[in-house]
Amino acid sequence: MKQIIYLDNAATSWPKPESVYQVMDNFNRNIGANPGRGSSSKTLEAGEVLLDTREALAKLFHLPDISRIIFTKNITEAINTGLKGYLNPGDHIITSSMEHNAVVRPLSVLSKAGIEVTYVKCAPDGSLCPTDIEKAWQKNTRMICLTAASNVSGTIMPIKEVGLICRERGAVFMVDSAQGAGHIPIDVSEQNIDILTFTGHKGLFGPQGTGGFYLRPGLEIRSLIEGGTGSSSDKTVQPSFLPDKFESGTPNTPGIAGLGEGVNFILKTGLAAIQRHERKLMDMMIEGLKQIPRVTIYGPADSKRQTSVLSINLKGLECGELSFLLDERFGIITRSGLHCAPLAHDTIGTFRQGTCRLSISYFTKQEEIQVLLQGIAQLSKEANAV
Amino acid sequence: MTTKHFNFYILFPNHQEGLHLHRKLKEANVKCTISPTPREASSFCGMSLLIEEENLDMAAKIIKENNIKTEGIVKLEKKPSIWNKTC
Repeated sequence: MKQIIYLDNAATSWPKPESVYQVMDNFNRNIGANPGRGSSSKTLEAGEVLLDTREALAKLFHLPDISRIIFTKNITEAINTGLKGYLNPGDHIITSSMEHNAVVRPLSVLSKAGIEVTYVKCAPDGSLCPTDIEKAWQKNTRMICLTAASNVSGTIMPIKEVGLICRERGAVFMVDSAQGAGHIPIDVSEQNIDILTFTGHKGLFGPQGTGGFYLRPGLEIRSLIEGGTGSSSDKTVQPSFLPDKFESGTPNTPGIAGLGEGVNFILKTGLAAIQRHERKLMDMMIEGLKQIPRVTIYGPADSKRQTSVLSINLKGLECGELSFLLDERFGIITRSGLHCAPLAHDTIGTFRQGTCRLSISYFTKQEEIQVLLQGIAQLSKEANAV
Repeated sequence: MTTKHFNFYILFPNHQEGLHLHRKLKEANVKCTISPTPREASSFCGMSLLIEEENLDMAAKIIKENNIKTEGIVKLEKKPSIWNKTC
């Protein structure tokens, strides 16, 4: 197999911790039952897998009630449930101009159904001023939805500050933690988060096809799909208790086993150690890129103000060409284009040209960053000669 | 005259809650048994926890502390059975 340097962890993290592969293999080979259906020993064992993962997530995010952790097929489904399950015609929602299409597209549908949407404009480095949220407040503001960190520029958002505003003014605060979870601390109580949506396959080191959300006790929202839950089987109506209300159909149990192990890896390693490693490599990458002529760096360019995501362009090459050449010549995997976030690219001024996104993980090595910098320096020279 | 003996079944809305309590009772060294729920007791999730009468107060305390949802406790006359899954 061709040696590669994987710098597309913001799309999906790879590799996963070895134990993630092992628990998924073990589930498929040795457990393999459907959780919550009947009461066989295998079913109960599969049920324990879900319980283990809920407990691990509760530790990581400081969630007080594990029965309010709901698994979905990905964070997009979780965000859709939060938005469409809570908002009603006539309601107003505030969000930012750095959001992913997982938020923007459902809001586009909802805006046609009589829900007012305000996009608060962020600064060109992707940062959000919390007081701008207050300025956008209306009498009918019912929800604030905010990404924990941008998937384009890595910019960390002021979650705690916005959470406090929501608590004081009385609106539901929903956080899209796709790019934050596993990279920066997330604490639903401290940050006043009412609905925390998460993906399993990025910073949490689980497999693709996993995600979910946490719903604050006392907050009720509608389900988007209904079906068999293995519970209340004598009833033809959906159970109202959680997590069953939102978990219809057979779950992705092998995937959830992997997600739980990914979260356990973070808990064992320590989020602080992960952050330290990522910041060290980000500093190295940012400083190195600053020395290379023709490179433009977007976002804060400060490892303390961003997660392990960096967007760049190289003058003389389109972002797609840069990504292609890094792959073909040096085996470096990146992602180019608009990253499903047109509003974010508009905010940082790259809607027309897009960017090449470099995203590292805890498993990225210093030597790999050196190869990246040498590769980009080489391409810079070549682009200059054209 | 024969003395009647009773079983106490803790019932749950779903497996999630039943397995959660099972785990917490095990941690507290409270003896309990995962049991198929007798049809006369419930039509809920299919699993229940069989517990001794003297442990009911302790179980109630653990249920409250961990915010575990139950569908109540059912007292049924003990009948001969050939199963057992003791924790």
